Amino acid sequence: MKLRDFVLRRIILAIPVIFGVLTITWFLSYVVGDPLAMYVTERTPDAAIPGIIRARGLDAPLVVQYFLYLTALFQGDWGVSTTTGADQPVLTVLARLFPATIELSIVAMSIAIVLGIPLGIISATRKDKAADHVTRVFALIGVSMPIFWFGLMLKYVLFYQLSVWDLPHLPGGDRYNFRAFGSWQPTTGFLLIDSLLFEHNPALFLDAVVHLIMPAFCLGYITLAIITRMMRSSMLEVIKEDYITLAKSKGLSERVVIYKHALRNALIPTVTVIGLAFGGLITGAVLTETIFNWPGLGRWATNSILNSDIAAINGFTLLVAFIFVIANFIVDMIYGVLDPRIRFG
Amino acid sequence: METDVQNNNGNETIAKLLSLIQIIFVMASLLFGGIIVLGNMAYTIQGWMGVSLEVPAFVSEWILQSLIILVLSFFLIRANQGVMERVSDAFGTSFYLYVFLTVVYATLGTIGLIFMILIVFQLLLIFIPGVRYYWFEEFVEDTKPRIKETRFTLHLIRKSPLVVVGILLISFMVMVAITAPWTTTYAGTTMVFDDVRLPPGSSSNDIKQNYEYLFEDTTLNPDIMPDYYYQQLTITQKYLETVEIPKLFIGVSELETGVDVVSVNITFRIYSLNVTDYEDMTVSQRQSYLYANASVVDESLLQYIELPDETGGYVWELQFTASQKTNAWSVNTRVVISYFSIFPVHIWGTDSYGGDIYSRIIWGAQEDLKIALSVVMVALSFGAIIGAASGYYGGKLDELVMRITDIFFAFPGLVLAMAIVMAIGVRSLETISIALMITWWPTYARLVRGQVLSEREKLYIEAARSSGASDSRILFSHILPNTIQPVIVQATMDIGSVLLVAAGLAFIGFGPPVGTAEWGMMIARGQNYILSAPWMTLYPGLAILVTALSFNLVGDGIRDILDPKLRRR
Amino acid sequence: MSELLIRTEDLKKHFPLTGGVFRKVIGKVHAVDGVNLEIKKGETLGVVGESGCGKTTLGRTILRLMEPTSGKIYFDEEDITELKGRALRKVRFNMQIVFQDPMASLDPRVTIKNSIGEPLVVNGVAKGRKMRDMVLSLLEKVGLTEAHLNRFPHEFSGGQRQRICIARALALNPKFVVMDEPTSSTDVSVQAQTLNLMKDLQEEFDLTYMFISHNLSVVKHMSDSLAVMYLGKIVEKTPYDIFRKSLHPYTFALVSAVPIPDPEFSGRAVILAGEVPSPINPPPGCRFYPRCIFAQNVCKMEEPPLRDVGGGHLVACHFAGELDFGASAQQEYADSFGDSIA
Repeated sequence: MKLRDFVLRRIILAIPVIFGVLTITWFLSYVVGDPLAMYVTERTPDAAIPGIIRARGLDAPLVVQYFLYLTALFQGDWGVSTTTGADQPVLTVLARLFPATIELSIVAMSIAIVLGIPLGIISATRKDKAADHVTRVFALIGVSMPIFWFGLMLKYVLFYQLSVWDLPHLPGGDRYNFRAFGSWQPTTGFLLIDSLLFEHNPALFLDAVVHLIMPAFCLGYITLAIITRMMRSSMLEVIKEDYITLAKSKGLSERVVIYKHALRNALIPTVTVIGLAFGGLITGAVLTETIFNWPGLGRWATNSILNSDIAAINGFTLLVAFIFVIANFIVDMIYGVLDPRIRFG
Repeated sequence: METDVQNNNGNETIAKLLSLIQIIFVMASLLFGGIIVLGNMAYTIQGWMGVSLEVPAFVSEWILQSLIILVLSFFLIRANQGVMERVSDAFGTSFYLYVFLTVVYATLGTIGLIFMILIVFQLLLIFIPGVRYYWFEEFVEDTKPRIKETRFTLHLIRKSPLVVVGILLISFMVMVAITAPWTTTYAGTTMVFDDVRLPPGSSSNDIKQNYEYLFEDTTLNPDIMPDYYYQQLTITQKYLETVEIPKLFIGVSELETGVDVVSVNITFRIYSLNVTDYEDMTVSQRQSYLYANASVVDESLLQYIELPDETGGYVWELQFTASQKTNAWSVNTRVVISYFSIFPVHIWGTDSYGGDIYSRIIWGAQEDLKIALSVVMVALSFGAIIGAASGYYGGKLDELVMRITDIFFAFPGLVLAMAIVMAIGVRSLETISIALMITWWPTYARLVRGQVLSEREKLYIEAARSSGASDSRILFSHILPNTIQPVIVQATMDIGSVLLVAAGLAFIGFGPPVGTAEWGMMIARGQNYILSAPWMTLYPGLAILVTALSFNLVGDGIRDILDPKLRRR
Repeated sequence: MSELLIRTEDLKKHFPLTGGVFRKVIGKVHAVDGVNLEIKKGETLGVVGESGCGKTTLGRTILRLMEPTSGKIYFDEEDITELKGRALRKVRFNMQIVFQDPMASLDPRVTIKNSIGEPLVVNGVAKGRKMRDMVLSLLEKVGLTEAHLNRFPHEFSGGQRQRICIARALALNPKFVVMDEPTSSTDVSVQAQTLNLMKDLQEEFDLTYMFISHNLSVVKHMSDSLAVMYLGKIVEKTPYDIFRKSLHPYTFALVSAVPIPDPEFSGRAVILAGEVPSPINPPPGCRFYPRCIFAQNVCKMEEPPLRDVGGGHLVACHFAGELDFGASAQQEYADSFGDSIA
């Protein structure tokens, strides 16, 4: 199959998925849940409710409601959220909180990649030695550890215990020190970028970095464990291949064989895992942000659950699903380019 | 040998009867199980809709029961395969129809007991010579090579230390969950409001009040009250009691002595009456029979006295001395003496509602393992059936199933489960389980489909087909047994992941509103006190970590062990 | 004895080839493309050809393990092309197959007893003890013992596994067995043993074989008549020894490509030029013409029919019998083979 055909086919396959996602969220909020809760809040006057029901077509047959729902979604009307205090359109809230979550996820992912790939290589090249066992157990603990617990424990040790002993410590939460820097004007919404480019405030940048370390490491650990495991197993598989034996028998040094020949091929499955783990990061962000009081989507979603804010949950689910679909799509593309065999699958 | 030949017809009849009985059993148990399941589901749904119905506790255990059945029926089916195959077509029905029905119902139903009866019944039949001749020897012959293979697998498992550690940990956790009623001091939901946020190792302030002694103060004159001064109150009382509990906890749990207690000193002596009568003893004699002497000073009003394991009469002597800076003794100075059969020490501390962390973790093991196992079992059975059908028949069905799983894969697990729980609108552990089942089945559908697809192309499938085997026979006795291994590995590791996601959901706040012992909810309760009471978070988190890790260790290890390249000697 | 057991009429098997965005069928692989075959009772028909010429597909299609695209299959003069379900299973009683790879054709999780006994059980021939006894007698016929009964396939050697497969194929007492390269995965000594076993069994059970192989000397040893396949078609079918008399240029090329273990031998192999054309777009006219050293214009335009050149010798070549491969060369091959095989 040609690359163009492959891309086209993937796009066409993604369309029913997106419609399926829309249908599932509709089904959950309209059929299983109470659709009125999407548009009505505590502050809505009672007299206005019949009007809202009529305007939204909530008295219409389900099929009509489905199409009204889809139309509203495409017009950018995702319901009203009450979680942030005032009644706000869901889409506005999402747009405001999204950069904070993405910033956290990207930093976490970078940490995971930078540490995970070397660890995987070390583990594979020293198979069944002490370093391998330590790395494997480290990775296994990573996938078995509840992320919210890990976050709390990090906070207890690196923030509380260190500050009790008057040692330099990491901040226990928040995105930056509000008391020292006051509010900032988001331009891109990414504090790391805005502080340098638009606010011209290196001190704020440093403060943001310091605030990022703990939540990002906490969020990245699971991904780090997944990448390490994948890297190890694919590296072991590649090392067994004939062309590696050939490269060794040519007299190339171990270093060259591993870093020039094996690594390139072993990276292919790892890239896939990295792409898929990105969706997992956003899930993890729900838990991490709650613990570190990070003003992103995840904390907002948790708060809206506690407030039974259906519109907010619906919007969050949709957004995350879209990110996931796009991430999967990109992974497929990369895989298709890296490994042409997959295009025939 | 001649008698054998003559008996042959009779044996056929016995075997047919046997299988008829078996079919009746299976059918009856399916019916029975189905009724119970439907009833339970009705209860659950009524619960969601807010209709309150008093449900006996055992009824809500249906998920756990279904697991037992699944396991039992699997072994039973394996064991019975030979017998049923030989006689099934006497009734014109495929044996595998029963297997299919059984698996479908078993995931939901509660028929384990009846299967057990059936197994016992069959074991008894072995002792009837005719039946024994007919199939028992063959059964043994069929089982021998299987046992040989199993022993080889066990040998490989023994060689891998991580798997052994994992299996030991899993068995330990399961034992902990099962023995919870006998190893805990408190129920999972108990809240002791006197014991809020006690650090690990501290003893309980809440003592079961078995005996109450009132000391009425009569020696003091209430008129002497010029200013604050120190006063001392000494009461000595003797009681004759017959104590039958060998371990005593004795203390003063309530002291209403007025305003500011400065110091209280209680001396408590206990004498055995087994030797001689107390009245006849001199002081020195009394001392010699002194079993224990507890002094309670100041705030720590608690002491433990361990008595030898003898029943009999004991005499208690209590001396109560309180020094107080006060202007008046209240009229009633009340001292409550209580004893307790087990020492109520909160070895892992208490939480913000006074729940004992240790007890709650042990009860939580029941809840969490139940969620994890039931989610994986149900998702596995459902996903495997769908995936196997989709992979084996292919075509439109396959396309449809793949598109549906695509949609499910478009959501991260936790987020979809969140949306489902939110939509159902009831916060309970059952809702979490159901949401996770809905979220998890596509994983297995995909996995099994892929396995079946690759297995379907193998030559031995074609060989079976050319020898005239039917589709269901090929699927159930050739394809599925050969695809089950990676599925088992995946399921083992998924038990760990489900545990984490379920705990995460409970942590976010999807658990039931009041105090069920569940690890995720315990951490959620602890997170606000992480600085002042880290033990509230530490121990439940460790419990999750150890449990998930043990399943991951086993899954990771058996992946290597079941690797066919390694297995073929 | 000269009755026909298997007959095919213009049998075709095409595999669809998908591509493009919507997975449309953009072509088809002509694996078997119009084959007329006749196999007499008690005879062994050898089928030879290069890899990918469709010999395996032909064997499986005749057994209805693959659905033919068009054409008819007759078993014992009964049309079995459209049979389904129970009727098809009944026909399968009489037709069995032995696959190329004995390891892959035995379920690794089933003991030998149950593997061989499966046809007996599923067709309701025998169960339980009776099945066990029948399996045991079959095992003894192929040279295995009772001790092997309850073992798993991975405990056997390659030759033993192939004998187990043969035992399974014979379990239902079939009339017709397709041997799909049964010896290609075993070494030479085991190969000879297995081939002789097959011959013995053929006499004992009065079997008809279709023997598929790419190894000419093996086929010559086994077969009464021989069919040569090229790109999904039969180009030559002969009851004679092809080492002595081959009329199609492709057959001769095949024969001459067999290495001769004789240092004195001076005959030169006809090296076929080029690759086998793709079975997706087979060349029009004679399929062999792009590689044929004798090709002429008519070969490009017209497809040669399979015609009888006398004595049941069928050749699909416009110039059958007119071509000169060098008679002495042919004689030399035949002689060398006579030495090395006998």
